[in-house]
Amino acid sequence: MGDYFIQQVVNAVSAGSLYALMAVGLALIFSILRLINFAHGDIMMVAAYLVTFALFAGMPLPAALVFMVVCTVVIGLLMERIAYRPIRGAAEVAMLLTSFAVGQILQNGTLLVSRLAGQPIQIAFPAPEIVSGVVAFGAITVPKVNIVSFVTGAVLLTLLTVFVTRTRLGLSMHAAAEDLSAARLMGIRVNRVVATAFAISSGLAAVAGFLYASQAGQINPYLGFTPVLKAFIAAVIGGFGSLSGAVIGAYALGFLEVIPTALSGIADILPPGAVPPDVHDLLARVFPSSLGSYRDAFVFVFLILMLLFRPNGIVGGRGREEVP
Amino acid sequence: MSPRVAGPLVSILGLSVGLAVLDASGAAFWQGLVINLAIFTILVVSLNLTSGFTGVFSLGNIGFMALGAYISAILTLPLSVKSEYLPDLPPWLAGVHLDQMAGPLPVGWLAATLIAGLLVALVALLVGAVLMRLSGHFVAVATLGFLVIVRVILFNADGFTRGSRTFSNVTPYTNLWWAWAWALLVIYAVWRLKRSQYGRAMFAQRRDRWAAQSVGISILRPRLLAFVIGAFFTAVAGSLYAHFITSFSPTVFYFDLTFRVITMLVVGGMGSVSGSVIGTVVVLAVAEGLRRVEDVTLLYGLSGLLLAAFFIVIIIFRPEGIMGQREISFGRLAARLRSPRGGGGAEGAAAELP
Amino acid sequence: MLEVRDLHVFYGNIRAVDGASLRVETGELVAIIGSNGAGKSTTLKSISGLLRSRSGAIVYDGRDITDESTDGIVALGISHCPEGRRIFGRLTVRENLILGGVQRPAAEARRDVELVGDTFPGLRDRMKQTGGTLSGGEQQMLAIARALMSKPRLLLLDEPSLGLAPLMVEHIFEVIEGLKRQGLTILLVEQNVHHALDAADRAYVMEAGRITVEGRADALRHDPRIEQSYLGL
Repeated sequence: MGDYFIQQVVNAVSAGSLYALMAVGLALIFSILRLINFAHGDIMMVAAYLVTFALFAGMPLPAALVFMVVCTVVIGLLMERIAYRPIRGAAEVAMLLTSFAVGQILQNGTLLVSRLAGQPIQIAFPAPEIVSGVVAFGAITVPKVNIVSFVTGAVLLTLLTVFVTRTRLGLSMHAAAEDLSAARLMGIRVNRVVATAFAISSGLAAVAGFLYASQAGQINPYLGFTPVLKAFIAAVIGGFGSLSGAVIGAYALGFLEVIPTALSGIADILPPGAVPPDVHDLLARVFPSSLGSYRDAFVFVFLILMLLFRPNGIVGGRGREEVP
Repeated sequence: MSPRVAGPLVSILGLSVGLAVLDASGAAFWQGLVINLAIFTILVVSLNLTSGFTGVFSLGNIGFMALGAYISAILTLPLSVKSEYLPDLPPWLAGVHLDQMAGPLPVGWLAATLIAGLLVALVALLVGAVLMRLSGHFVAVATLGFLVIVRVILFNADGFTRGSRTFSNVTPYTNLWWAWAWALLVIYAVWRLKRSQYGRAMFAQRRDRWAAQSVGISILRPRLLAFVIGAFFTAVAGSLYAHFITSFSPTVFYFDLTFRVITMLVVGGMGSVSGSVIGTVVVLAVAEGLRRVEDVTLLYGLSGLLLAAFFIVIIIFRPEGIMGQREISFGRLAARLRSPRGGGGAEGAAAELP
Repeated sequence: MLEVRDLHVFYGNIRAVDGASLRVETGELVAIIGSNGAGKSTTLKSISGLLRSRSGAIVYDGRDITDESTDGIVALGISHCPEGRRIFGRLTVRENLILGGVQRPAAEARRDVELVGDTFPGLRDRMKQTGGTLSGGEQQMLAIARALMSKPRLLLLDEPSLGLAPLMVEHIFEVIEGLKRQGLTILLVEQNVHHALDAADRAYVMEAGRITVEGRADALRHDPRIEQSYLGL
């Protein structure tokens, strides 16, 4: 029983780290451009493919990771230059739809390349040693990949915080996020700030891609869709636009997600005699084993509730009557 | 007879003749394509109503299509098939079989379609009452959430939907005539709506939320109306689709289809009913053409990629689409035909869409 | 130093500036006065590159900067302190100042941040406070100090007295006149005619996008046209 809950917590933290890396990237771009970059999930997917092919080609892990991050950042910068810069300042929805289109291009492009390379749609990820297997802490075993996810997330996010608060470029991003016109008047080169935001965002997504592939064990061109939605939800929970909020929201989401999974079949998990029989039956009926598969729906209902009642996130309060 | 009346009449007549020829020809591929065209037209025009008129972007419409497809299909399954195929249906549903015919008319299917449409409209009313208060990209993502929720429910309610397994054995009621009859009905209804006071309210609050409110135009009501009516027609399209393709699963009704419909909408012009028809034709033609190329070259994914690139080009260079918010005016077309510009002659009519 | 020739600026289809021409000589304080919506702020925004004019020319030190980007214009030595102050409320006073000097070498800029306290004593004790917690007058001081961080040769000041109490307005204009004495060239947009004409060497009156009156400030102070429009006489 204790094991079961520890496992759920570990899962929550692991998923949370992944969402945090993605959500921060989304929040970064949104705060400056007011653009929800739905192609973000597909950037992550492309990174997963890049590292997979690099590993297949025999590159040692460090080289493969560098290759993955560099290429992903380049793709992110190209994406900004070609698809987003021309429509900067356009209606929000136009930008959102464009990000979907970019995502489609990345998905189909990956499908094409993958097929040309003779690969099936779903490829098994050749997990390197560092993310395979488990580590034992006394009576508890924790999969290595969860530990790696958490540590990587923590390190990268700390570095990002230092960058944003201590460097002038980071400060410029803050300024641009708060008041783009005033930032321009300081002589801040908006194009450079935006490009930096995309570079950082893509880099984080790349790492998230590697972690996702390690956690899921296989990759396919459509894997980015659900994570980006989850990252969006995480960012909203934390108060969209705020980086620290995105991180908090991400871990909150990680925990929120395990609730249906943890509760599903709880009646079966409880040791016999722990609760009276009628409570046991009630639990079995309200939380059947199949509840876990409703996890995504559960998360979205939560999102909708948040958008309605607390659009400024958990911390932010009620905010204005309508979110613009 | 004024060109305003003659124009549409001539078009409908032309369409009927064309359909009759196609029907008689027995060319199954082209028939399928034209039926598909009708279904997509309904989807795009409905989305135009829901999102193009009001400016409130709903990404969840295909969820309504899915519900319409499943509800109508479950209703029309003949009893014998039902008991074998969907053994876990609750008794009140297991006994229903809307497969009656009145001569050549599939009244059972019509009833099933209407029921599905009304039920979905009800769902839309509830969902819309909640979501139509949001704006901009928040409503877009919230409605996307709705799409995901519908999909999850469809996957899990195996007793009704067979979950992830294919739902087949649907009677192929949909043919060229029914598909286009519904399409014309939807086009007409939405076009009339655009010109009504409701339509004006929708466009007013699209242009300027606060200004509209300050002159007493409610925000929620026009949006909700557009959302619900759009959902009804989308559900009808779902029923048409289900009874055309006769077997489907929840995976069909997801993001790719959503994006395809959005592309058609944007290409045609958000806010223009005739634009939606044109946009559908253009994108479907391009998509089909590209699919041939894919089949030949085995470069799967090429059509999706090029269509998405096409979408981006349109958004950057011509975001208002082909028609913007304007409509084809037969009056102006006729005037051009009668007095063509010097030297032009017939070329005036086709090129000069006002 | 600065010359604006026949400027036409549109917001969509609405003409905001209709053929305005003006000039600012080195060391001068030139004021543009006029009622709301006259196009004064729009003119400043065109000079600093926030807005693109449809036609006309803006020449600075003999160089055409009409289509120059804002960061290029800042690099050339023009700094715009915008209407409504627009300080970064979520950042501290120090961070606001650092951003003002973002184009300059970091070490130099940091030194100047410390020196800001000399000209603006009110800010010296508030370095760690976030901008949003400052009073209106302090925010205006911060905005001006921030604009000065880029070591401009020409300062564009947009409605510095807006929304401030009379005592604060006095104080602000003391600072402005002090800057002028130090040799800074200033183009000032103001609705407060009295103070503007006191501080300025020359002034322009703008109405409905056009320059209607121009002349030396002391002459304009007694000009019946001004008295009529603004003092209701």
